[in-house]
Amino acid sequence: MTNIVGISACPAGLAHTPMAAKALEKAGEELGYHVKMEQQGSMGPVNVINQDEADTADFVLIASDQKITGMERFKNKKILRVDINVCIKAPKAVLKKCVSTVEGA
Amino acid sequence: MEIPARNILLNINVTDRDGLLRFISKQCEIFGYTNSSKGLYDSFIQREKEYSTGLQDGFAIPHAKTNFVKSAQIFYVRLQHPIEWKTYDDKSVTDVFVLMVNESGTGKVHLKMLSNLATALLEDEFKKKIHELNDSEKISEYITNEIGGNI
Repeated sequence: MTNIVGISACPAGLAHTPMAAKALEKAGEELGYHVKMEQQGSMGPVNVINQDEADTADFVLIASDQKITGMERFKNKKILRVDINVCIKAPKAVLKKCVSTVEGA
Repeated sequence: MEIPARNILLNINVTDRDGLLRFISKQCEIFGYTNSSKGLYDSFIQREKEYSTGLQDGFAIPHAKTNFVKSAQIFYVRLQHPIEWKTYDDKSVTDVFVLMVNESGTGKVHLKMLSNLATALLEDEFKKKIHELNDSEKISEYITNEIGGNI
C-alpha cells in the first residue's frame, strides 16, 4: 500500500492546519493509501511522525508555506510541497498527483 | 468551553467582509471579550492578508490570535445577505464561524475545540445540521456538543 507521511502548518495554526491534515487522511482512506499527517499548529506537534514511520514512507507531503520543524527526519526522502489551501479544497487530487509524480520519477 | 447562545448571531446585516469583522470586533468589546475592538479587528484583517479564510458552500472561518483577546471565543454568524469573500468555490459567504484566542494564554482544551470545529466544517452533515437550526440556544448546544464531545 502506498504509504505517505506529511506535515501541515498554517499562519495562526488554529484552523487550516487540522483541516488539511484531516482532509488528506480522509482522502487517503478513500483512495486506499495510508496517510499520516503531523500537525504543527497552536497545540504544538500533534500526531507526530516518528523516525520509523518517516523511514518507511514512500514520500513526504508538506502542506504548508510555513517553516517546518524536524525536517531532518526526512533525510534522503522525496519531499513534495503543496499549498495548504489546495490540500483542503481538493485533497484527493493532491494525493493522486503526488503519487503519480513520485511513481513517474 | 461552552459556546454561549449570545455568541450565535442570526440574521445579521452587513455589506462586506470588513464590515462583518468590524461588527464582530465591536460585539466582543460589548461582551467584554476584548478591551480593544480596533486591535482585534486589525488582527482579523492581518490574518486575511496571509490568505483568505473563506472555505466553500458559503462558509468562512476568520480568526484572530492576539493578546487583545481576553478569553478564547467562538462565534457563529448567519448573514441576511451573502457577502463577497475569497472562497475555494468562488461562492459568496452566508455563514461565518469566528474564532479568537489569546496569543499565549489559551489552554489546550480551547485550542482542541477550535481544531474540532475546523475539521467539523469538512463534514457536509455538520453544515447541513447547522442550516436546519434556527434558534440560537439550539445552535449553541449543537455546536458545543459536536466539538467538545471528544476532548
